[in-house]
Amino acid sequence: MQECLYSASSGDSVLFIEDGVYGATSAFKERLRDDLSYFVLQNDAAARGLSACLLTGQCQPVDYSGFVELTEQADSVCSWF
Amino acid sequence: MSELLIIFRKPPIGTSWAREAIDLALVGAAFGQQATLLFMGDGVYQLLSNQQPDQVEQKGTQAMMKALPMYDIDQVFVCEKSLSERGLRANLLDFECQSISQASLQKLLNSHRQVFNF
Amino acid sequence: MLMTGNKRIPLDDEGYLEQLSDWQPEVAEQMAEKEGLELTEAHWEVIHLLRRFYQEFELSPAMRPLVKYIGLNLGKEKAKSIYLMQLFGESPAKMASKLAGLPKPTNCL
Repeated sequence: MQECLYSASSGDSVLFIEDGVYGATSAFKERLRDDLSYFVLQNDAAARGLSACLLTGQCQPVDYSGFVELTEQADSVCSWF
Repeated sequence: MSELLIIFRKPPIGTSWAREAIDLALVGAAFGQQATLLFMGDGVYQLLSNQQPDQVEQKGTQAMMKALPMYDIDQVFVCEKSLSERGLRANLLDFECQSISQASLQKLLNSHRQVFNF
Repeated sequence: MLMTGNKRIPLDDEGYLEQLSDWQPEVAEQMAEKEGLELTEAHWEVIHLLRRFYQEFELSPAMRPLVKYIGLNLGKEKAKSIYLMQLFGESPAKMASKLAGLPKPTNCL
């Protein structure tokens, strides 16, 4: 997560998926830069018991089709697994 | 005090670490070796309530965890620091477990002859 | 391999169901016949309870948890290894899991 946020350019979108969704919890909100947009895949969050009250409000939940849309909107995609 | 300490350090979904660690606890219990469980690091995420692993077509560990009392496994500890680092509190967890400090955690490790780390 | 009606039901090498969803009472009856057991009410209540255990905990119980679960649900006088051995033979947890269509208990002698 730290490398991802370090490398992102202003205006980029960041989508948290799989175990990355833990990074979207309020505990780590201090790490989020305010010049990026944040999304979290809601299936992955629900699978791990991360309900809305644990996630930071800065991350907008998306479903699988939202995931696809974000991919379409982006000029390039980088995965930080 | 049990002889066997099992440490859970991985998140619940995506790999079989968590399931295998619980399997070990259950096998131990079936053979009369009562295990003590310790959740620390990202392993504390295994204890969160309302996990729905079917959302990503996987099996979680919550159902198996609920079987622990059937196997008379009641020594379940969670690292206080790992919880607070992740913004979690004991009341968000699905299981009865004792939250412990670093000193008690060190004691726990020292008092067990066999420690398995998952 | 078992047949119910004209449906083929695959079994593994040790006679456990390959597909848990294939289970029906007739499957248990055929398996019991192969094992030389005649299923009575007493057997059925354990078989159904085992299926409930599996639904609840997603695992097949070893002997001790099975006995404990029976104690909680069917009463203390049935929560004894000897009672289960009279019903299901020498390895009751394995035999009853097989008849209930569950996987072999991995954590079992």
